[in-house]
Amino acid sequence: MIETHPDLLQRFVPTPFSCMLGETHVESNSEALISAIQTDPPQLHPIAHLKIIIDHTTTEDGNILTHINSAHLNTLLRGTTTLLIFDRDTRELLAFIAPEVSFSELLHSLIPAVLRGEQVAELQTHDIGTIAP
Amino acid sequence: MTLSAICNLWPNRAVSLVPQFTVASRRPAQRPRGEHAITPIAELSFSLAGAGCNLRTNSAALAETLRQSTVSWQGSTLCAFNVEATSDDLSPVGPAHFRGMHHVVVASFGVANVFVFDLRRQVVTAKVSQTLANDPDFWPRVLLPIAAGVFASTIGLLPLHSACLSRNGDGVLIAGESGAGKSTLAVALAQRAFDYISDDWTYCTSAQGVLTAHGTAARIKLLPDAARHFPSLAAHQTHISMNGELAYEVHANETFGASLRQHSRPRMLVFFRRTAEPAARFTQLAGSEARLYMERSVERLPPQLAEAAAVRSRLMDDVAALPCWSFECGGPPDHIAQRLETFFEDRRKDWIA
Repeated sequence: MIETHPDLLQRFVPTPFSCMLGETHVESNSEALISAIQTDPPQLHPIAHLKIIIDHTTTEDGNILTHINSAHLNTLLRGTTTLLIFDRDTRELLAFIAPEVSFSELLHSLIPAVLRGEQVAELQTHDIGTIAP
Repeated sequence: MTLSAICNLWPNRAVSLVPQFTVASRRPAQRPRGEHAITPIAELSFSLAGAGCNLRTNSAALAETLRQSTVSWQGSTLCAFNVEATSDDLSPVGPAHFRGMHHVVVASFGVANVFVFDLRRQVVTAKVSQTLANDPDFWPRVLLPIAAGVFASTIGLLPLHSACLSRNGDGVLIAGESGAGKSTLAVALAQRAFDYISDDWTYCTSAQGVLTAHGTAARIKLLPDAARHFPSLAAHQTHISMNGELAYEVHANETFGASLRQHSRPRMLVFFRRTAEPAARFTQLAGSEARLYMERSVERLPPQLAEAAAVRSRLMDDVAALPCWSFECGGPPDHIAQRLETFFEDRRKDWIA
């Protein structure tokens, strides 16, 4: 028999540290981050649930920002190993952060940027005319 | 790039060759404030392991690749792929990086190639380089198998770590550990007039009490020592596969002359274990053992996808209800295939009866 699948996507990283900031429930695997967010709280409106994993299995791989937005999700990547996803319907913000990214950049630059959904480039539904065979 | 420029690059001549594509009208669409739209110039529906998917993209090359490498789909679709190829980005494809949380999975291949899978809405939104959009190998070999695996449970597919072959529509699922020889046995069976469906991952659906096994048209992956048994591999080169192994990745029909099928009705599940001795031994297994195998081989799903997990669990019950056999045998692949063929044909008389 084969082995159980490892958690390749890091979906099940425990997040034992949490706090409430206004109406936002914040959870993380980093106690230091929770402390930083309470000391210097960023603008979290309209996030209902903020879950941040400091991804110790990766390293920073550049600071190029890429925005990918769909009808429901705003996604922001910094390099490829730092990524933030904001679900506009459920108001969840989910993030994996490379350990080298500073808390200040995360809280005051990356989170606001993904909430704004800058540079939206979504394939729109157009009135499409079919070309007959 | 403007719409008219895109249409000039991809003129009606190409459209007439590909009639299921559609071309966007020049009428401006309503857009949410603050957004700019990438206009799709190609749209097509295709089958992904038996599930209907819809692609919308601004890349004619990508649409043509999927048209050629997938089976077209008629009717309503379950998944949407919205792929934007950036107009002037020729960045090389980078290393694969995957992360997932709750209902979202993100796959990237360098900063220029990012895929966001929304498992709640069954939508993939992607931004890719022209290099990747123009790569006819990447989509069928890498992206579509990944998409099948990521989406499977949320669109009613059970991913089963098994090969699948069939004869006259009756399928045999061949499970086993990685490295057990599923792919080699699949090729040997295909050379004994079995239809080839898949060699590594098979996707099962159930409707009105009928179980169906689907393939993804992925290439067969064979380790270098398979060349000892299959001389036609000499015309191909090995390369590093997605999991880092050096392997051949070849088309079953082109390389081995296999007859391809998209799906079959599975009639038995066989757990194959290669042994040192050539004698074949079949032992009936309880469905609970098959169930345990499936539970161990599928990905854990987060609580946010509980409904998908429940559907998947019912599919596992259906597969576990198949006759299940342990099959131990050694010797060359054709010998093993011949033993399994004989066993399969003996049982098949019962299904026909």
